[in-house]
Amino acid sequence: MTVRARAAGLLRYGWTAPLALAALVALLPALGAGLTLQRELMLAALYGLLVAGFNLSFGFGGQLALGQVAVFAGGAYTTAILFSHGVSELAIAIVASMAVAALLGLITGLPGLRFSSWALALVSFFLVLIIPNIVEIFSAQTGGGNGIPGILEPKLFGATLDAEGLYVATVIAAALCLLFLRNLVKSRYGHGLLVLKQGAPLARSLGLSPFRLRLSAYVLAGLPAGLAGAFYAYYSGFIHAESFDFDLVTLLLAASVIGGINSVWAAPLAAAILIIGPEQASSFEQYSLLAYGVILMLVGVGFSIGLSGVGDALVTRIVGRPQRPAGVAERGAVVSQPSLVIAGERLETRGVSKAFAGVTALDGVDFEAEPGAITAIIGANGAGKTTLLNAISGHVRPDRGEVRLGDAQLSRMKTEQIAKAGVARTFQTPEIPESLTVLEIVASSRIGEHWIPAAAIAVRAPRYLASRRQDRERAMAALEFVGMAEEAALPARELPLGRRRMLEVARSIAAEPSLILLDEPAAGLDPEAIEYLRAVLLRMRDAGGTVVLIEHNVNFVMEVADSVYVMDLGEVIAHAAPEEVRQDERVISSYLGRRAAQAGPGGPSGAMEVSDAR
Amino acid sequence: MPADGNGAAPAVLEARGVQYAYGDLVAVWSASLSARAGEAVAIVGRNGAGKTTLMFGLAGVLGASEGSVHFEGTEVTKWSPWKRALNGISLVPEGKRVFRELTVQENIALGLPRAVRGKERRERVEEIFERFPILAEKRAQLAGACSGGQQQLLSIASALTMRPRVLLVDEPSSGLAPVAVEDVMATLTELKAEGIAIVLVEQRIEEVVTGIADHVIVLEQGRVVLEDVPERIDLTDLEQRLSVA
Amino acid sequence: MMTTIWSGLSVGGLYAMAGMLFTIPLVRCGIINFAQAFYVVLGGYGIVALADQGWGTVPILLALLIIGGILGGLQELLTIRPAKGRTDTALVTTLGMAIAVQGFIIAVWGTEPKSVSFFGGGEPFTLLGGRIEPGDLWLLGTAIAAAAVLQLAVTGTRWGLLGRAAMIDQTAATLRGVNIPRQRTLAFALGAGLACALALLAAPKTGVIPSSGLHLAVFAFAALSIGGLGSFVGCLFGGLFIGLVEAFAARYLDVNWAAILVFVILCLILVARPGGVFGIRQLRAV
Repeated sequence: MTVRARAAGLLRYGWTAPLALAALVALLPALGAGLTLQRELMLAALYGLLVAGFNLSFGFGGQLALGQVAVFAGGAYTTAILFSHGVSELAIAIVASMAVAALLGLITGLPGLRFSSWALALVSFFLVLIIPNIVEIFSAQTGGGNGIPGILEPKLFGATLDAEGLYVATVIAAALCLLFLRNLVKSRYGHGLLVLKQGAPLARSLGLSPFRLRLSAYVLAGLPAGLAGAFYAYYSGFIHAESFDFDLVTLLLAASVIGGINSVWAAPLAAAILIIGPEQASSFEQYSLLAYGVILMLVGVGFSIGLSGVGDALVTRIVGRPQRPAGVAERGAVVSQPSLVIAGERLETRGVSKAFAGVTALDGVDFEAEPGAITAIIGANGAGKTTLLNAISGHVRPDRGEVRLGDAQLSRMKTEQIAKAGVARTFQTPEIPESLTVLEIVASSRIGEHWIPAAAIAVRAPRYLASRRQDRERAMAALEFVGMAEEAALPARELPLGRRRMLEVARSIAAEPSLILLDEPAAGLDPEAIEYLRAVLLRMRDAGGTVVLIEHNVNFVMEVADSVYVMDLGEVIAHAAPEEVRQDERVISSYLGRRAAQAGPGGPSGAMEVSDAR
Repeated sequence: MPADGNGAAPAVLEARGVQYAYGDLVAVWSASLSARAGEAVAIVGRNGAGKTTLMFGLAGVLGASEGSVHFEGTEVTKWSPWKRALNGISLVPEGKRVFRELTVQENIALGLPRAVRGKERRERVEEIFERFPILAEKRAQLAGACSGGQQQLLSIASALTMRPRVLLVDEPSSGLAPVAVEDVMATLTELKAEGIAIVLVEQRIEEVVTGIADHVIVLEQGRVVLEDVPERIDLTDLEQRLSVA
Repeated sequence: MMTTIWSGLSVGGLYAMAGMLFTIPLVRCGIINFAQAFYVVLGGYGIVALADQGWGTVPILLALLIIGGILGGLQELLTIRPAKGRTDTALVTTLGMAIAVQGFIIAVWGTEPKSVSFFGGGEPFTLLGGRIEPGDLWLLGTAIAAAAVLQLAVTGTRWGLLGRAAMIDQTAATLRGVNIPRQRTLAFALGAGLACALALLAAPKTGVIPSSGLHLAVFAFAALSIGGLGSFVGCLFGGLFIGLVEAFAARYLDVNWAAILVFVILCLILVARPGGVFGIRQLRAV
């Protein structure tokens, strides 16, 4: 076995490495590490939790949720207040602090639902600014400006913890929390966040609710902060508003950027660097803020991938690109991929109308698409084709009229519900989230199918593992269907346009839809790719799918469609078989132009068209 | 090497052995082309062949890692895109790329250099509107409110504000209804007649080879594999070549 | 009560102008320079240092404009240009610069507050039934003038048109002859220079302490967001509004409630009208 293969095999168990390291760190006191070092490591672990939670919103969600500091403060104050009422049992304090943190995470995250990155950063800064004000107002509980002093002697399940005991408890708790966070991130949940980061319309078209997903991210990001807060109260012994200030926000950002904004395990490492590093230089205190600022600028400019990105790059260099995704059978093994069922339902729209700011985009459109057939919509720009597609998929709400798929009435449903009802679509410009492989992209269409609670994902419960296996199998089946199985392990963003279009088609069929909507799938493709697309579409038709497509490539439409609708100015002006539509006067004058109309029926190729014109 | 029928006119834009790369991914290898006044050079090829990269390179948006670009005798390889634009090389990028939140008039006026003031400014804008009456009707509307075909015309019109001697056009017909494509091609033919050198990228081979082009260059995976005048090109052969792996 | 109104309007004028400073690079290249508010604080320390040397007001003003301009230009050249002007990187690096400026101030001058008196001197006087100081009137007046001038510049001049184009589509703007990197550098320089100069009016009002940077940044943003992203007139109204809320809350409720109230109002407005009242750009919604 080559070194490469051996290394690749080891990598499968790579996830144990951080845990081994954590165990080592926990054992340090027994190995003779002094109290100073223990305290520094504790602080690194706690701040690491803060940063790891923050990365969930920042690295995956793309949102600068610096309100994390306020959540941390909430957790710390909760434990401190419990202590001042005589409760020093850590187990209780942790649960209480995490509950408060979850609630605070929700509240501080709400602005993020509506705001852009800049606005959220602003609001979170503001929140940190007014922490002292809030503390003052509730001074009866919080001790106001004096804070809560003398927080000592934590108990764990009744037994009092000494300094070393607290250290070990902190390290173990932090490691477990980070493990769960990592499990969450490398799963359909993390993929869902990346899909959302790519765009809300994409998320909705896959059956995900952006609102719920974002909120859940804020709550989950807050939990590590709550845990950290509980331990921090006993670490510090004295809780007051000044501990949770702009300097901490700075540290949070710097650690996130240094460790890599998508990272989990690198977070405590980066925090350790920022804490232990300055300690070594004696007169550093005065310059620490200046140094953090410079670090942020340097890292921002030079190292946008951070430590974990460097780690990933190193691994790829040593081990090479993965050949096949884990958990999928080797080629040649006698395992038949379950075949996908994409038999469609009948689609019918009646009198669908929509106006935007006084301009009529759709005017009473009646449209039908049968299963086992390809129905095309053509027409000039501004004719309403994409609006009609959006009205069917729910990305636009019609003013009047109804949309039926089989027995279901789609017109009043929310976009993500329509997706769950079996409507799949592609976009004019392929929407491909970053950092995901081809297989993961295709599997992402199944995230909205059935919901697995975050807790089950975090502990890798059997329920989650079973669903993951099923998702992968269905995704591979979809990739086989479009002939992309060989590319399953490739990073999706590196594919050329034609393959990305095909990837979107694969994604649209992986969830076994009742209706497939394709928005200009042939645009920008070269003749070879168009031929490929044609073959796949015919396959989808023969499998019984209801395929609806918008196109400008007239030749392509004539070759592939069973029935053609022509739209102009929001109305359907013709509906017939391709050859008849081609000769219709209204269609010619509004859309086709003389030359395209002059090409004869019976599969015209470019050459034939030219010789006709000559 | 292109053997042209019209050897008299000197090349307005000439690229010699240019290479364009994104990081370490080379997209165009050692390409050469010449565009003469009043003539159109068509660049065809499959998707991913490097056509748009070459166009961005000629416009200066991408720097050449090798080779040189000459414009009216001067070497412009190191020139920034704004310098090229202000001196006679205009690119109409693909995808109806107009400033949607600006009005049609603002889109057109944008390219006027600072030196052009007051009355002359207004006159030059009116010149453009005379050529494109459809746009004149919509002059106060936001560009984003115009239809796709109008946006493509606007994209071309804004490039013309700068009075280019070389017009680079990237896939003007993409996403347009056939009727609109005819308008666009007619405009380009007019410009050719007025003496502007045109470099055109098109996906639809028969349209350019038999219509507007005086020279055809075929790009395949970043390399020029064929270069000739349309009369000598076998169309069916070419289409086959671009369809077969 | 008039006194409270004057108090609110004057500090509001300060917030408005700080907000306008942020808006300048925003409408030129689509980037918000977090460090802007901290340049104002730096300017305050600059005034202290130069005034100690016996410099007069006009030389100080020139020095602030020039040194601030150089700092801003350097910031762009060293931290924004290498990243090709990407806005996500800019979020982190402008924050880094803000922190570095604050850190520099602490490293050089420590955390002890200093004070600067208003260059126009003078005693408080009564206007329309309320007490007001000359410096306060200047704050209000300058804010109104600045909003008018800047708003006209952005919408009515070629300078403004180029900026708006760059904000919409940078690459397409370069194809229309816009020298994006130079435009960005000048925008940063202009913003930073004006920020340092603003200290002449700001420092007498807020005092010269490191922590005023964050407060000013946050309230300036609030003015910007409430008034509308990209609109100078919007900044003016946003700033004055916030100033009045803060002043009345401090006077009739509790000092602690003042900041909280502004925060709540900010959130409500951002939810109800994400583009702000006069905004030209919509903030992203879900």
